[in-house]
Amino acid sequence: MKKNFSQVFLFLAVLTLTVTTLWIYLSVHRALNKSDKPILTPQETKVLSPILDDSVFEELKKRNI
Amino acid sequence: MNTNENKEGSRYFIKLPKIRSTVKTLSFFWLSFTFVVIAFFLIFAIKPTLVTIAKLNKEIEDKTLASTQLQKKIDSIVAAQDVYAKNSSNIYLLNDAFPNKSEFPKIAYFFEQIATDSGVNLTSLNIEKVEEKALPAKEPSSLQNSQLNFSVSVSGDYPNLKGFIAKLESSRRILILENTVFSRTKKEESFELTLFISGRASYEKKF
Repeated sequence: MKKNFSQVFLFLAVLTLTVTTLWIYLSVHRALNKSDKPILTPQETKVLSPILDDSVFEELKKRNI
Repeated sequence: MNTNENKEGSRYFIKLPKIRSTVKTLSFFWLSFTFVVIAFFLIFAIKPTLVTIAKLNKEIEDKTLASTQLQKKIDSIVAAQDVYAKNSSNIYLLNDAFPNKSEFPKIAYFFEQIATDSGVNLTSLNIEKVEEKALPAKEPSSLQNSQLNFSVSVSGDYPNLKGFIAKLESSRRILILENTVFSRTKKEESFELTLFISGRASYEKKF
């Protein structure tokens, strides 16, 4: 079936638009999920426990030497 | 003359088919042109904008998470400061138990003192520092410690030696006793009981 020039041009334009849309979607998806190096190191995020066992002091006080 | 020239020149031209400017052709052309223009703007205008928005959103999300984690850490540090202030009068006990220097003279003095108190003879005392390799900085270790190995030998009566061990165990400084050996040796006409103890004492290592 012989297509005229206008139809081929339209087909190419639609294909270009589709590919462009897909490319943009993938780029945005990649930008949203791409994780660069973490802002904080594990040492910086490590939370210190403020709980202190007071009985240790009593135990140490009993030891005079 | 002119007619002849036109005839000669005509062989250099190709007769193109006539593009019909019908309504259908024009519609196809404008529709295609519109799509191409939209694609052009999508590539050069919309895409960079959307990618930038996505990157900024991701950055905001990451930094919010980091901020939450740091806030949690700050809260714990504030709580720890309160606990420290409350127990500041007892901190010396922790320094005694786990000093930040080897302080081997104190250990030597301690052995001498408990030997005197227990009524046993201190026959030998060895203290040896053990060097340790530094852990890699990536590992977030809470406390890195270094060790002093010691071995002590005392002689005396069994109850006194027992008292010596009891006093050793009641040391404020953390001492780990690894070996305790009793042996009996003949001295002149009587037997002498000897106690050999080896162990280690830890202290905080500063890199």
